[in-house]
Amino acid sequence: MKKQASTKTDEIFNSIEGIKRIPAPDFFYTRLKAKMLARQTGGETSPPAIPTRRILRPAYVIAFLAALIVFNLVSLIKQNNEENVAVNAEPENSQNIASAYHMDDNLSYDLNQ
Amino acid sequence: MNEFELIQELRNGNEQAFKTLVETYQDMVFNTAIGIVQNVQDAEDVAQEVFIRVFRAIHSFKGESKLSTWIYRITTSCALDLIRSRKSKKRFAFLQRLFGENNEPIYEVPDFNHPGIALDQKENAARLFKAIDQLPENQKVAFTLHKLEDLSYQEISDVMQTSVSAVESLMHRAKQNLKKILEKDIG
Repeated sequence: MKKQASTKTDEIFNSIEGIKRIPAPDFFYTRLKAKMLARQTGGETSPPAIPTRRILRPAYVIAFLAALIVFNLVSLIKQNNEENVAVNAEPENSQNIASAYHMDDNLSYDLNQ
Repeated sequence: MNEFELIQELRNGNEQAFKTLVETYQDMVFNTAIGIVQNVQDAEDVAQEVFIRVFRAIHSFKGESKLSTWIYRITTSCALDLIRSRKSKKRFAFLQRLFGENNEPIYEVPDFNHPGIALDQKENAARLFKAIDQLPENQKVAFTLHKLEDLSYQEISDVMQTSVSAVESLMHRAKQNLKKILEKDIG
């Protein structure tokens, strides 16, 4: 069975032995000149000078999106942390204001008594 | 007109020289392209692109290699660019199907029948070309240049700008990979 498969593989491998060279299509030069003229006059878009194709490869696009998501997550976490710090710091701020106006020792309550 | 004179005339923008260049090398370029892209229409597009690039870049050709070597190099580069662009379009079409409303089936390329293959070998050759299409780019180029264009390992190393031993290694791996793919296909 294995020998049969190997023979078949060799047969397939040898199928291109003696392959004939085929001539280029008729009027190849005429069509080529027409294409070059069209590009010169702006009729046909030529390949981009900037290699945008490489930038648009899926691997690069996915890596960019992943980086964007990570950046957003880090920003959100940082923002959350800053908010928590602000909330915790509030009582301290109130204390500072109170002491500035001498209200921290409840003097006004004493005076009223 | 010898090669040196041809290059000089091309640099001068001589149209007759360009026509001579195209007529001399069009079959070589077309056959190399067809072996790599495996489609007659695409091979013609590639061949046209090759001569346009040759015309534009003739001033940068230093003459360190033969003109044919340089043209082979441009041909393989253009052919591989087309294959990569085909794969990108296929991926994009697949994503469109997933996320868009377009439910049309993706068009699958039929088996390639090389026009230069004898009738009794067409089926086997189609299987081989399908296997060649699955090879990594370097192996595909080396195998195509050797088997279809009859280039020696030295000539292939000049085209691919690598060493002869690297080409030998590429050919060895290409043959091994092809045998694996074909054995899997035969079952």
